[in-house]
Formats: sequence, C-alpha cells, structure tokens
Amino acid sequence: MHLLLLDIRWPPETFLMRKIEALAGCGYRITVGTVDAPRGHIPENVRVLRLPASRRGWMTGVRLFLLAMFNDPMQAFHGLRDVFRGGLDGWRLGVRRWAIAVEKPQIVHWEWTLAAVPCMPLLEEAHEWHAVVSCRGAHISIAPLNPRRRAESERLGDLFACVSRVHAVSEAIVSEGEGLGLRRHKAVVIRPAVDPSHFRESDAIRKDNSVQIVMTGSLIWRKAMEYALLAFQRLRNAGVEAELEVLGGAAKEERDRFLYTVDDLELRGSVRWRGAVASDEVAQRLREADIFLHASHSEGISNAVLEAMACGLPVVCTDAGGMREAVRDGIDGFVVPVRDVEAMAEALVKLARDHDMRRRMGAAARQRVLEEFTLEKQTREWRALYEGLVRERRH
Amino acid sequence: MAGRRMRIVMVCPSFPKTSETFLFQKAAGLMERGHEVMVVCGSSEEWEWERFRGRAMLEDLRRRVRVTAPTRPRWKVGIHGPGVVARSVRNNAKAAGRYLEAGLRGLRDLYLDAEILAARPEIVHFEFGATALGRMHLRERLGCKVVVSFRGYDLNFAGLHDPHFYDEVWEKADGVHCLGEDLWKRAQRRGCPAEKVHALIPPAIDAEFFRCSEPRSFKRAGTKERPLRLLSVGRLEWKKGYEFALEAAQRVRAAGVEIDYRIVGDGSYYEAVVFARHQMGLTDVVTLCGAMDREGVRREMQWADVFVHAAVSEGFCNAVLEAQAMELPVVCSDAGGLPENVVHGMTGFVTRRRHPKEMAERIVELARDAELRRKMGEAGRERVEKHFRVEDQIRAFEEFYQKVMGEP
Repeated sequence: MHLLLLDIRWPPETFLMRKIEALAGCGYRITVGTVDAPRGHIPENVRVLRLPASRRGWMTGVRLFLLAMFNDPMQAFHGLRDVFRGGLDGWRLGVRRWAIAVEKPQIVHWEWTLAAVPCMPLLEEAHEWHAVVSCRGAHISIAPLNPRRRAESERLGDLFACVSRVHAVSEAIVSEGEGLGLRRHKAVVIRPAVDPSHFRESDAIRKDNSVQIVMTGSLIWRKAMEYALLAFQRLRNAGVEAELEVLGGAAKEERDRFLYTVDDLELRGSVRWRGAVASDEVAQRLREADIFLHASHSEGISNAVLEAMACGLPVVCTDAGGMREAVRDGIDGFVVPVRDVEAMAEALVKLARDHDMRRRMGAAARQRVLEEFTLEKQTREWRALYEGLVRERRH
Repeated sequence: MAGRRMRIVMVCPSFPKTSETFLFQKAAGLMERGHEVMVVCGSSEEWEWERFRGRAMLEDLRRRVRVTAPTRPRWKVGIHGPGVVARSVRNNAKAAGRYLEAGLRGLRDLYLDAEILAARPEIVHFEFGATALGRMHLRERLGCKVVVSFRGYDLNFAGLHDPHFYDEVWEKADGVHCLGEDLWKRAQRRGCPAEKVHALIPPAIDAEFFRCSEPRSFKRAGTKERPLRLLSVGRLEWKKGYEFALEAAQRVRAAGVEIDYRIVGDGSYYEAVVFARHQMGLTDVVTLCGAMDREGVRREMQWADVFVHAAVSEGFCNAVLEAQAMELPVVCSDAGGLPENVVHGMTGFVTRRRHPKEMAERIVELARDAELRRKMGEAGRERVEKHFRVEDQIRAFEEFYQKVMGEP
C-alpha cells in the first residue's frame, strides 16, 4: 500500500507521528508531502518529500517537475500549466500534481481539511488514486462561521463531494460537517489514539493535602484559559487547597492574556505555567496530578484529554464537539456546558473533596482508553479505510 | 501662553492612529499653544492620515512627524546606517560624540535615536511605557528631561513575568504620567517610588464633535418592534472582554428584553468573537460593524440606547468618555480606570469584570427605565464637559512639563 500524506508539518504533531509509525510498521509505504525540511527522525518505510511553499523554492520545484516528467509527462505538463496560470493557489496545485505524479500513490490523504481546498481542480478531474480528507475541529467548527474565510469554507461542500472518503475525529464533527454538505455515507469516524504504555498510571499514591489540577495544550483562544482560571479561582474561594499547572506553549498575545489573568485574579501563588514541554515531561506531570481540566470552547476530540485519561486522571471538561464521546459524564469525570464557569467549578469542588471518587473515575478513564482509544484499534480502522478503498477500485 | 515655549519630542510606535487619536489631539493642542512639537515614530501610514483629514493643525503636524530608520530586516540597517549616523554627527555633533564614546552599543543607540537627537529636545515624552525601555540614556546624552506615560497595557500586563521590567524607568525618568489613580497605584505596585514626580492626567475628548445632533428618543425599548440598542466600541482583542459582553447580551435576551447589539472595531480576536456570537445563538442580533472613523462612531452612538464595555484590562477608555459625551448611559466593567471614568449610579453602572450576570442585570434595568437612561445620559454629558476637556488636558500637560523642567 502506498500512501501520500499531503500538507502536514515535519516533524508532525505527536498523534500524526504515531499514526505514521504504526502504518509504516504494517508495511505501508508512506510519503509525506510537506513544506518543511525533512529533518529529525524519519521512520523506516517513510519518505519526506519537500514541497516548495512558494516560487522562492523554484529550484526544488524544477527538480520535482523533472522527476514528474520522467514518471508521468502528461501530469507534469498539466502541473506546469497550473504553476504558470498564476497565483499562489496555482503554484500549490501544480506542485502537488507533480508530487502525486512522482509518487504514484494509491491513496492521497489531506490531514487538514482546508489544506485540500487549493487542490480541488485536481480532485475534480479523473484520477487513479483515492482521495481522503480529514476533519479535525476548527476547520469545520470555526472557520466556516468566519465571513472573511467564506471563500475557502464555501467550497467545503464541493470538496466533500469529490473525495472518496471524509475522515472525522468524532461523531460531533460529522454532524457539523453535514451542515456544510457532508454526506453521511462518505464519512468515517476514526477517533484518535494514545499510547497507554507511554501515558501510564502513577505507581505511587500521592500523600498531599493540596489538590493538583493540570491542563495541557497550547494556549489559544478556543482553549478558553480565562474560563478555566475563573473556575479555578472559584474552587480556591470554596476553601479548597488547590494548585493549577498549565503545560503548553503560547504566542505573545495569549501569553500576555494568561499572565495578566492569573495576576488579576490573584492566583499568582497557586498557578504555574510551564510553557511548551516535551511529551515525556507531559506524561510525568500528568501522573503527578489529581484532576485534569479542559475548558475548551470548541474541539474535534481532544488528544490532551485522552492522554490524561490514559494516565488515570479524572477529567472535568466542557461539552465541546466530540468530548462526550471520550468522557462519560459521571463515570470518567464531569462534562459541563461550554463557558459555564460555575458548573466547571462545581465539578472541580466535587472531585477535589472526594479522594475515592477521583480514584474511581481515574481508573474508569484509563480503562476506557484501554478499550476504545488504543493505537491498535486506530491502526485497524485506518487499514480498513485505506485497504477498503483500494479494494473497491479493483471490483 | 503660560510659561515659555518648550521643545517637546513625543515618541510612539505609530502616528497617527485612529485608535490613538488622543496623541494627535495632544500634539495639535500643544502646537496651538505655541510649543515646538516633534513626533518621532516607527511608522506613519498614508491611509491613517486620510482618516484625520479636516482636523485642525493637520498640515502643520504632518511636517513635524519623523519616522525612525528601519531596524528590520537587518540589511536595511546596513544601508541606512552610515547616512543616519553621519547626519546625526552633522546635526548635533556634541550629543553624537557622547553616543560614540559608548562604542558599538552607542552606535546602535545613535541609529535608533537619530531623529530625537536632530530635534534637540528639552523634553522627550515616551507615550507608552514599554517604548521607553532601554532609552533612558537620552537624559545624559542629550541633556534633556525624559517623561514616560503609562496608558494601560504597559502597566497591566507588559513584562508581568519580570518584577524588574521597569526598574530603569522608575530610577531615571524625570516624570511619570498616568491616566488615572488606578494606573498610578499599579505603577507603585510595580516598583515606582511614591515620591516620583508624576501627574495624573485623564484623557480628554472633543466634546464639541461628540455631541448629540438630535435629541434621543426615550421610549420603551426591548420589544420586538423596538429592541434595546446596545453598542460597544473597541478593538476586537481579548482585553476588551467581548466574550463576557456577549454573554451579558445573551442573559439580557433570556430576561425577555429584545436587543440589537452592534460592535464597532476590528482586531485579532475577530474569529473568536464571531464564534462566541454563534455559540451563544446571537448571530441574528449582534452585528460586527468593523473598524470605523470617528464620524461613524458618532453616528452609531447617536443610534444606540446603552453603551456596553466589558473590558478585562483597560487604561481609561476614550470610547466610554465619548459615549458619555453623546449622552449614552454606560454599563461597564471595573477594569483599570473605568471606575474613575464612569460614576457608578450617576452616568452609568460599573460592574465586576468577568461577571456578565451583573452586567446583564444592569442592562435590563436600563432597558425597563427610559427615564433613568435619560438622566444618566445627561449626567454623562455634564461630567465630560466639566472634567475631560481638551483645553484642560493640554494645560495640565504644560504644567507637568514645567514641573519636570523645574520651572515655577
């Protein structure tokens, strides 16, 4: 099986790397088409193909064109036409046409929805490969609401129509996609997975009076840090001795916002922000915590929450996107309405005051990940999707 | 003119800017009173000048704006560098000499300060605290006085991670200007000695321009036929707390008051606001109007019934002053200088920041009581006319400068 993953970063996000490694381990040949330089660890069976982001990378472009000429002269010329037709979109389209001509994959998969939009002309033509596009969250739940991005998002319906399958990370995303023209029979839900041996439970039992609350994930507006801090403040005001640790990088604006809010809510002594940390460190910090908090306004399904569950942490999260598909309210933790600071705080208080409940829910959370969100299950589902598509063509 | 004519250099990142109209007003005001004003900034955009067309002193002021040579991309420094330095030496050899004594660092400073040096100022005024960092050497090298303004973000969250962020300013600046009591307290919390020469000069607005052109109607509002008209003016940024304002709007609606809410402004949180509006089911009653010039702002203020401002961090807020001048009752948060700006219970209501519930209750109160709206609106106009006049502000700056210069 030859798979081309288009327009992801290199090195990719942890969850994508896990997928790539797992599939490569099953004997898939995987090519990653990226605008980044191919550096860092590249697993076996994986090839990183650099795609020049703009005309500045014309040398790489020429190389790609020559390779394409060798493999598929027709497509190489079409690509030349795209590139000279003008604009950044033309360039992007042409370069990707060459990449496909060079690689001759059986499946082309866009892991980010809107990245596929510039390649629509390519998808609308007859082609020998199958196209899959992923819907992960913001591209489906937020971008289409933005009138300034209408030009892109108005084409989502057409995009869904001309790909073979649409992958969604949760049922909730499928429902939102339906509002944008996605047909249910084309949608495949494959939820993310975590590695339970990496994110494992803590062996030691913490003997400490203060309750450790942890949040992970980069500080961006839709993660609603300000709301989380408000809930945390209420928890402290309820007389609970608690500390909050936040792991995640931030751009300047959100960093300012976070630090200011911590200061303004007089939480400086009890909130620690550690910035972006490595995955090992995240696992370690999760193991040392008591409760995981996730206040997001919008989600596909949060990897951060799944990782915390794998570490045996009870979760307080908002009812955003597919979060209910991961966290069962009252079993693995509490699911509260979005933007509802009061409900969030109430759930935190309940968990903070009840050690047994924390342990029970934490154990249930880990069990749920072991059953529903394993890498094996996810890999099986990916293979079923890709191999099913290829078989379809043969008959 | 009281006192003598002073040579003043105002330093700011960009000039003019519609969101920083007060700087334009101040420069023009000082010039009208006979002072020699020079504005040194990082950029000056033609389209911004367009928006100020028709203002008094526009052409005079335009001649007095100097843009500093670029620092980025780096190679541009190489191109401009020799010329800038040579010109500085010719303009003010003595001061340039003092720079060059400090070696390479001095050379770098000279490049950045070239325009200030050429102006031979008596007073250099950094209009925002953060821009004054690393520039205190101006005092000795140019033999001038250095004054620093703090207007909000520079004290509220710039450099919060570093307790010594402003130490050199506290130590060396000849004078500190804050917009109000709240900022002055913050400055002291962040290390400013209480005995520092300082002035609390609130912003001023053009009360002649912001005046109701026709009498407001005070009829029952909040019904389907005549929804309560809410207005917010301010950049779409996290500081302005629009998510909380929208939540308040949602609660007002839930209380049975129909609303028509317009938000004037634009910014990096546009998408966040659009999403919040959608998530709270307010898409049909909340309009994002984008940025507007002051004509547009006045028109919207004429239209509205209540002005809403839910900021979580604020300096003083000119838009709230303008709203009061336009006889609008204000419902605002208690961030920064807002409690000094709005008199709670008189010209509007001040509620706790990040508490949309309280805010909603006050809006509902105003929706049901047209007489209260009228009374508060009138009180607001009176307050602005009495306390926030441009002439008073310019005079206050003049006195402050004289104090800094050590003149009686």
